[in-house]
Amino acid sequence: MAQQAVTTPSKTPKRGFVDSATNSRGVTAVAYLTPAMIGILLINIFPILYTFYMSLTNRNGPVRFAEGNYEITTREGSTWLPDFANYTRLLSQSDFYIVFGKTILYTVVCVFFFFVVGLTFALILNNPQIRGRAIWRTLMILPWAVPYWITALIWKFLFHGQYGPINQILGLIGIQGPDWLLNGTTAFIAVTIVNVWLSYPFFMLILLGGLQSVSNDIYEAAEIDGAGWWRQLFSITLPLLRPVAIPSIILSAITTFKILETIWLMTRGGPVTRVGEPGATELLLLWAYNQGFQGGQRFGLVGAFSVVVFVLLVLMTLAYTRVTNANRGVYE
Amino acid sequence: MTKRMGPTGMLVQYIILIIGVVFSIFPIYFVAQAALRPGNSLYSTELQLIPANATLENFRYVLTELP
Repeated sequence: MAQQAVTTPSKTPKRGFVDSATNSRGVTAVAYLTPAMIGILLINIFPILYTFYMSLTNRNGPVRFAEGNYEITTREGSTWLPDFANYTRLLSQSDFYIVFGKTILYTVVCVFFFFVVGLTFALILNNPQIRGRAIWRTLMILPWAVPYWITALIWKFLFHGQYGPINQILGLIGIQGPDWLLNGTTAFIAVTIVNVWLSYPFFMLILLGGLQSVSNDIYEAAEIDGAGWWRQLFSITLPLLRPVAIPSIILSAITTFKILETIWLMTRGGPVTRVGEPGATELLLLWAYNQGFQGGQRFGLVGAFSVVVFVLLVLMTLAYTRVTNANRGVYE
Repeated sequence: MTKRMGPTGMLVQYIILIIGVVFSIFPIYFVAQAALRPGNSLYSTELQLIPANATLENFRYVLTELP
């Protein structure tokens, strides 16, 4: 603070006056910042550090683990676990890798459909011959406006085996629909459909914006060269959409990766086909939630899990900023 | 894309659009019409997209009787 006062050219010759003025300005700034800082510390920083602390302690509930051989050995009179027992336990557990693989599958499938569905509708809505494009666009964006939990509950009812309209409509064309949420594979499909419903408007908007910045001249030139529709799509449209598409793909991959409430409200991670194994839709965070709060109370383990996932997501976020920075370099 | 679409191309595009709009609107519509259904007629095993005996009773209940 004092250094700043010296280096900044001052209009008043009296140094003492300048010092006190900048000091009081500094005090004011700190006073303004304090409430926000306290909030951030209490709400963001403290829980993260506390989770990290818990992941090193013996805070696992009385319920035994499925195989029953996880004995926690603590030092005398200490709650600290030796040898990062929670981490080694987590990373040597086959459930974790099953859940992890399933989550990656889910993310890939979801993001693929986000992109394909979003791109399809963006291409159609970008066609100037379609009438009433504003109305179509508004109707298509509506799913985005519905809160997640309401969506989840609506779809839970829609997928109901007997009362759900989806099965009733299928019944009209003579198909006996399955009990969607009670069967492993169909529950996974249902959860994917819901997530696509929730997220494709985002992609549609982003890609539509990207499409509108593509100049028509390029297409005309391609047409003179005799390129067909598919050729134009793959050689012109998709490469030119890249700077818009890749950041949004990474972003939605991150949000899909840590999806929790939508699926939890629909299936609670079930249906469980075999006792002691993760359910069909029990993705990464759902699994952790169920380990922590649904009977298991293995908070130490969940803490370790959170730290692992946190590191993964940080890596993905770094990749994201890298990609966007690379693009910025190209386009500026 | 600049090429003028033939009538079949346009038709295909409109059909895809309509499917998309049905897909995105249907859940919202379903909730809206479910709000108008009387009693527990929502739990019927027959498909009913337009509520019979539509009523605003549910709204009255929510606005006046729920604490």
